[in-house]
Amino acid sequence: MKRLENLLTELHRNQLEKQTRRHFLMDCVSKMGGLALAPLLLGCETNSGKPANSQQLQLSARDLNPLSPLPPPYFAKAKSVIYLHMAGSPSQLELFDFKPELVKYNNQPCPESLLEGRKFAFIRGVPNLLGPQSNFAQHGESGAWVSDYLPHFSKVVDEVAFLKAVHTDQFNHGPAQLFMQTGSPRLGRPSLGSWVTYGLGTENQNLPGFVVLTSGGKTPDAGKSVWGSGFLPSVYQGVQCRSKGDPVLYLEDPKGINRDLKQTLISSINEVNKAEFEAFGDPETLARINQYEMAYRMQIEVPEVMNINDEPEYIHELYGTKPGEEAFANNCLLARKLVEKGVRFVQLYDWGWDSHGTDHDTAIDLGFRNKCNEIDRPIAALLLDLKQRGLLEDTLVVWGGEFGRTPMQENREGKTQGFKGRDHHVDAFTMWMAGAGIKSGASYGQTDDFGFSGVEGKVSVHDVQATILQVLGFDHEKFTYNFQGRPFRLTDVEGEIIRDILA
Amino acid sequence: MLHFIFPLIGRFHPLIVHLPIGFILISLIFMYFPRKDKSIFLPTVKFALLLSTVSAFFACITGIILYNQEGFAFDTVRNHLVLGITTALICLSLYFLIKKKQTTSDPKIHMASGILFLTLTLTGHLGGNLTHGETYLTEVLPEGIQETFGWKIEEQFGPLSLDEEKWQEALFFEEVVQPILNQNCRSCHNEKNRKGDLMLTSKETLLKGGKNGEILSIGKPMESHLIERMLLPLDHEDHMPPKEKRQPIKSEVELLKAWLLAGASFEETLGQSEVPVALVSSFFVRNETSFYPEVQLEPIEENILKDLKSKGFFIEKLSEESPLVKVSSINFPDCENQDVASLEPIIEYITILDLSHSKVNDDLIPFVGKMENLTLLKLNETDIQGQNFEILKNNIHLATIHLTKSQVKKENLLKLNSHPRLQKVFAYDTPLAKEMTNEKINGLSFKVEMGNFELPSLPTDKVKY
Repeated sequence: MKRLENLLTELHRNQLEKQTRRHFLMDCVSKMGGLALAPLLLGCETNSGKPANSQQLQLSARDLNPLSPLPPPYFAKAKSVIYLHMAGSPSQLELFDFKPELVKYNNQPCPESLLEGRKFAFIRGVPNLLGPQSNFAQHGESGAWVSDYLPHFSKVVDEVAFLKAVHTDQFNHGPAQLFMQTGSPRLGRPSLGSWVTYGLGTENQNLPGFVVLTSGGKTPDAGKSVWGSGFLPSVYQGVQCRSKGDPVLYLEDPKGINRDLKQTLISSINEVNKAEFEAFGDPETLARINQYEMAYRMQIEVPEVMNINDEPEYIHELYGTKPGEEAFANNCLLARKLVEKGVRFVQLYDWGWDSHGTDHDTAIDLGFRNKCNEIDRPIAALLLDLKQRGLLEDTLVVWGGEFGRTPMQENREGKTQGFKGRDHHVDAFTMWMAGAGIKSGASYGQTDDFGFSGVEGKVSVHDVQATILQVLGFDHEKFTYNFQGRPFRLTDVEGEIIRDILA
Repeated sequence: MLHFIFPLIGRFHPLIVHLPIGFILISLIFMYFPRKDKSIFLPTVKFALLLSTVSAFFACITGIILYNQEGFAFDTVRNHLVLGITTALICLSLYFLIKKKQTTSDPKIHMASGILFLTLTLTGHLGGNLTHGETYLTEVLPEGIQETFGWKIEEQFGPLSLDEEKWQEALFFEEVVQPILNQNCRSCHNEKNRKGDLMLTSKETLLKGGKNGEILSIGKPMESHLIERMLLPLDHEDHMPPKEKRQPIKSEVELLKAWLLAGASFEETLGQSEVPVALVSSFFVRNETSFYPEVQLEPIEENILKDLKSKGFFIEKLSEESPLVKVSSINFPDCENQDVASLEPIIEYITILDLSHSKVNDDLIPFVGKMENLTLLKLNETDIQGQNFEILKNNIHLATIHLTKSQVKKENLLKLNSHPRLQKVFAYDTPLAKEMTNEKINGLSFKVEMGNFELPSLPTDKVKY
């Protein structure tokens, strides 16, 4: 108690020191202006409708713990999501979208009618068409076309539902990734995972609700905003765990400090922060309090959940993990463990899919194929492992990039390239979903003979997002957050639920 | 060449109608302006009334053109039309009356101006209803008021649904085609709202077609206007339903196509038209109503809930509306049988019970057996062996049991055979999974997931390209 008093006196003294004559003069001027502006800007505050500063502020369970669980508005099929994002965007034409016509036209100039009025990231002039570089076959009872680049995945195709004609409107990685994850190509919106944790909270109070794992050597081009919380309180942003070494740093207690001492420390800090919140009513203070508490609780559970070494050998074999390294396979196994422990949203980013064909690593028949090899077994293993543990019953798995790749060979700066590569393509690409609420074995949408644009069952990025929210028990049109005087939605003013792939 | 002239003139109606409204009102204002000597306004009133009359007739003409061009049903516009013309005629007679009497204070004139005001207001209101919809004013009122006055008259059509068992006996037109049209097209093509002079409400109207002629080409679905317009690109201005309206799903269009291909019969059933099951399977509604039991329960009392939560249980409603709850011991790893027994006060609310990783054992099962609405039971990684699993047959809604990594034994699982609802048991990594053979599973009334999946290595696994 004494210590707490000392801390509070210290805080009080600090605040007094700030109150100088200059402050008085400055406050006089700025606050007069503020007074005048206040009625004009009414509604700009983030917690509109709540008194910003009042002693009798009613604190709900949500205010004290922003991650406390909430029921979904409607019956939900899924309670967790694992989203596998292939940053850089893999080629749908080598993996799922089989175009025999394109084989015939390999190396022929692309018809001008397709190029009219189009802009590509790197293609200039009239490029040649590039036939599929892989061999396709139909697999499973659903007869889904999958190429020999994904031999393991082709054994589990009956679990997934394909979207063959997704389109976006951003042809650069950063904006397209933001669009896919936040519903807007510009910065400032909350990511899908943030919306979901905001809406549902987390069941396991010792783990974050939204975990991000990256692999492939780099984080996505759009930076951490793809798992940012935008205008939502920052407690809802994704918690990125390190993919190599300790997943979360400083989990171990420092020498000479035991857990009890740490708890007293944290509760004292939180007392001060609570006083701060009562004075100013800033929700970010609550986020701060909660993060201290979360960090403390995480100390117990995280080392156990994030340690894949305890898994039996045959599970490691199934996933093809590489213990000690940064690997997509490890992240897939971690994703399963996290979902098993009640984490709401696990987001995996794997970097290195930007197969332009400028060198060996980005060649569609070389480096790209190696990338496929890296994810093929882990993804098949993840689906099977979720299935055998009954987790696929209430977990939704989503796979996709931020856009697709052109049916044309890239000709950067109008020159012929030494390697086979494809440019960014927005008109049509493939995504798939599996698990809770999804009609397994379904395929929706179709592209034209070249795989250039969708001709049937075209779906937009907002449609995909609306469908994900639907499976989690939300109506994407009613799930809003008030900010800057108007309600915001993940799907903006668009989005149709893709009912054809829902069970 | 000048075929656009009439539609264009017609569309000026909503603009022009405001002129007589303004002129008539200003005439009335000057007629009843509180001033002793009213004669001073007489020329003004006369002039304003003349303008009113001329503009009112002009509004009538444009209105009639609009009615002819836009495919309104006569029933919908009748009152507005008659009242509009009446207004113009009263306006005219009032003008001559005042011109004759050279005064504005005459009983006849008072009466005429009163009626004029009334017809003007009514006409305007009805016109507004035509453009904005009849519920435009009332729909913003609180629901209670709307219901008392019976103003909620929206026609509602649910999505197409078919019985999985008896779908082949369903009438192709009446039970499939018409419901699809009802849901996707009817709001603009009905008795009241006849866009394109087309109704899609019955056999007769479908055969009649619209202003562009017939819409059905029997046996040639792709040549039928009905289908053609739906398959146009969404941005095409002739695409139906309009871009901003609900779009039919693919399987709905496929069914309409199949109907035309099979001869567009109004009598045949789906079976007689030889419709493949794949076309209709997405519209099956299961005979059982919903996954979760339908119950009438008051929401759990706040203090009971608070009490149980403070014990360590995770308790959350299944949805905002439902009183049913999911209970989990996810944050309560030390949970034992007697802790679970404290859930007694909310026993009928428990629909999902997840006691994975907790310290419960077989002695808990009798208590679980009392949970009448239990649908999903998770006992992963517990010491449950299942000695008394026959008790779970009391849980008539129980559809799934998760026993992954539990101690469940083969002979105990067999006790669940012929459970009334049970569909799936997860038993990966259990003693059961080790001793059970596949043929044994095939004899059970439910599926057992034993996992142990493998992905054999392939020569390509290690290749570096």
